[in-house]
Amino acid sequence: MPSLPKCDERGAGVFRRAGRETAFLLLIALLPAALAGWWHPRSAFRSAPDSGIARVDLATVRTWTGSLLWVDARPAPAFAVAHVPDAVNLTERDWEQRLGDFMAKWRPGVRIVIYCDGAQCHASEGVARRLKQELQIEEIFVLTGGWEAWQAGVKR
Amino acid sequence: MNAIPHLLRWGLGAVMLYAGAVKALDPAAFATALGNYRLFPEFLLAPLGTVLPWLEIACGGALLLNRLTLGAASVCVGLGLGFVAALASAWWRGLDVDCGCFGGGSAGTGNVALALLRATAILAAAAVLWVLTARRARR
Repeated sequence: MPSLPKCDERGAGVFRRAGRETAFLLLIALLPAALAGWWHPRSAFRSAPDSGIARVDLATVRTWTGSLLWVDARPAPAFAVAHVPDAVNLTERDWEQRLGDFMAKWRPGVRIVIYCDGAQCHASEGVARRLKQELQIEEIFVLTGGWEAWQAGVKR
Repeated sequence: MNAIPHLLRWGLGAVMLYAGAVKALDPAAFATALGNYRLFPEFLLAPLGTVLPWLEIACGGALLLNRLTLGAASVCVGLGLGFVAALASAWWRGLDVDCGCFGGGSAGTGNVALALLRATAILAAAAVLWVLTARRARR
């Protein structure tokens, strides 16, 4: 009767087989992936994915220590009526005029939180992206829920 | 008791195939979703966003066809660990990310805790399948 392989040899065989099969699966996946990278209309290589603007909710922002700069991305009239205390108004439309105000308040290392009207508006992202590109600032966040969330938070 | 490995195989296979297919439809969106985690260097986002969906599809297909099952289960465990780690890190840092687990690249609108729970469940299923498959392989 042939001797059975020792227990640990069989065990090692399992991992070897797992490794072989995993490598094979990777190879199988690479061909369509390469084709997709080249030809897909929504290819990640062409569409230049931005690293995404991180979003944070108000509760989390409140736990942050360290300096914080609020940026209001709503139109100037809305800002004039009410805004987060010490916030800077910055919109893509009035970028050149208002960038000075922003630069006056900004220091390297300060976390920036941008808000606009509410859950559906995209102005914050536009401002965030532009700040990232032009000033190379990394610590930029968009407030989930925007101005509505702030007001709700203040009422509590 | 014999049905459990097969049920797991079919369930996990279907989930992987679906998740991979949805992501493969919009690689740019998935790459953006990966970017939202702020975990990877920028140059890795496009390759990861392109290859991962197809790896999931290959893995899901393998499980459903009952081929290369040990490798497929290993890939599931690996991907599961990756997603759980990424989600846990996002949850810890208070980032509101769209999981990206089933496509989509919009920042926000995600319930990170829920996605984390779901990913953990999938990881657990993958781990169990791996052990069961490994046991059968040893015989």
